[in-house]
Amino acid sequence: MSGITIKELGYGFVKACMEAYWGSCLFPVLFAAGLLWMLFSRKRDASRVFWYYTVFLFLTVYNPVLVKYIVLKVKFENEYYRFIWILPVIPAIAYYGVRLIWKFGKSWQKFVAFAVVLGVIVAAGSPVNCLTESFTMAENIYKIPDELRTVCDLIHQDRGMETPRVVFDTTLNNVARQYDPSMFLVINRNAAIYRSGSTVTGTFDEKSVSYKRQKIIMDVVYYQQQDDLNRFQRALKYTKTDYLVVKIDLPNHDFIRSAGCETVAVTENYVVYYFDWQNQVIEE
Amino acid sequence: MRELCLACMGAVLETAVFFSFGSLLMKVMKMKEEASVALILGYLLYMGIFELIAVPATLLRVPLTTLSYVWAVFMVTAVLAGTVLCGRTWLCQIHNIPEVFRSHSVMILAAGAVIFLQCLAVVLYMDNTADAAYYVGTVGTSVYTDTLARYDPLTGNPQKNFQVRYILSAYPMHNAVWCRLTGMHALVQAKVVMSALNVFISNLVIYQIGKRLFEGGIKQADLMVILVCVLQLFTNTIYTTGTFFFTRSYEGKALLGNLAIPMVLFCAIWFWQEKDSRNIWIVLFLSSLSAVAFSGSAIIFPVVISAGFLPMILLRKQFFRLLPYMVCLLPCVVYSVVYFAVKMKLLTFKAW
Repeated sequence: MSGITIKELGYGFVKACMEAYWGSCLFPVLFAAGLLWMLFSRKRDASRVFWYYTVFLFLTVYNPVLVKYIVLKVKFENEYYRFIWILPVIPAIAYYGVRLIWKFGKSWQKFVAFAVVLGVIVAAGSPVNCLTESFTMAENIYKIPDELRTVCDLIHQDRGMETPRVVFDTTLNNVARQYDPSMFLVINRNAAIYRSGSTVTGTFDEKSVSYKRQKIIMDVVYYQQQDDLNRFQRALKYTKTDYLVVKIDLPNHDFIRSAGCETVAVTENYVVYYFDWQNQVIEE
Repeated sequence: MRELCLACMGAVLETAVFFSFGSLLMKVMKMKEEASVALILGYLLYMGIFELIAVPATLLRVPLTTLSYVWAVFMVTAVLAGTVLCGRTWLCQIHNIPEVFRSHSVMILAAGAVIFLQCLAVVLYMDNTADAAYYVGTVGTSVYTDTLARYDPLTGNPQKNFQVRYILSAYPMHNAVWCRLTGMHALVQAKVVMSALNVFISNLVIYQIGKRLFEGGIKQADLMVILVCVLQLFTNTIYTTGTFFFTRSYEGKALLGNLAIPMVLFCAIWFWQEKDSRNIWIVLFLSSLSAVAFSGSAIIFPVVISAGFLPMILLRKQFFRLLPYMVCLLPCVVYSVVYFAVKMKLLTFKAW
């Protein structure tokens, strides 16, 4: 889990992960209440299985002492939250809710109980934002921005290259090859993530030639931190960059053009540049 | 329009294949035929067998087209065998549809509407998480290059060695096979067709868990499906199964959390109720095998299975059950051994 490390938190790692996993959601409290309800009602039905899960998991993978040594050893800190998936909180709460509703005999009573249970869930939970507040509707059946399709068509039509090497803007870089696998990407997703300051997909040797070249290009296109035109040109040449797809509102289009990039097309949000790396004469 | 037609055709065909696989398995296991169980088991069996064929094919650098044709023969055989051996049962099930509606009453409409809305949400939602660059990118790249995971989907360059973290799970290659056979775009197969099917099948698993917990109470099970949907909608952090379910249902990880792990819960409840049934272990083994096919995170499956079964085995003092329990751990253990052998550089899989 990003930013939560055993090295830093020690025995507090599990608690921190649980808090990060559930956020402000109170479902674990409802789950615990349900477990106690079943225990005190002395029901010996299949829901007893929830108890077994809970006890087993808290003795093993939720046990701070074991976790501190084993999870660290197998390098599973980033993915630790998947152990929290095992605890059947969601199906158990649903089960307890239905049991509660079914305690009432008449249909209208059941309906009222259902409304109450729904209210409790809504009050205790916190809605998945991207669905409830900021739902991003797919623009087409491919579920990519329409503009990416246009950009890919423009690149293929421009010089008829079958497998062009392209520097895409950060918003398109991850989706470009999902739509058009004939595009070769100059900027590796993991390098872009690392450059942004995250090590979640791994670390890079900052002295390696491959990373240094990608960083120079990212500095210009993603971060507008250009300082040396010649370095930028060399990075484009040695990465055999054919095209750059850059946000239209960048402040450094002049810098990109002065590096030898030639405007091929302009769409609503992007400028497509061609870079003739084979015929570029660059001072070494 | 072409892609939409292909998507609809793909969804129907894939469902038919899963259903045929499941019906045949249920016949072999002599289980009482139930459409929802057939679909779930068929999906797990399909993924399990596919994993056993696709991973060696990948390591042997077989072209995607060859794998696709071999797998097509399997699928056609399963559908034909299903039609011949289970056709009569299917006809009975069709005749029983009015009875099913009567017994569920209005609850089936409510649960159906909730499932439909979930499918609609995942089909219409545009997600651009970085992980899709690999999981969907590898599908398109494999189709484009007619290879199995030999090119890096993040750049398009050939890979020196296979990425062991990913290639031991064949789920993306299942998408690639369907793209090759139908001509569907990778994004449509992964993010539309399979997303909707995954959500549908995950709901069927919840329904079956409910049926087990309420000992056949189908209306209660329907209501449980609805409540689980609401609960998933109200778990807002990037880590929860709910978020994965609604926004990343095309990823194997989401299937692990929303299908494979709940299937183990289903088996555990079944084990509580029928401690002598052999079928439990078959279904549990399939869940374990398909978990490996879904995602490398199946490395946690020994804990998943142990949490569901070990306490009951120990409390009941049925130590002879430790044998089938350990057999069910095998797929994940084999996966872990290979994975760590590669990580420790004891083993390499050359892509060329």
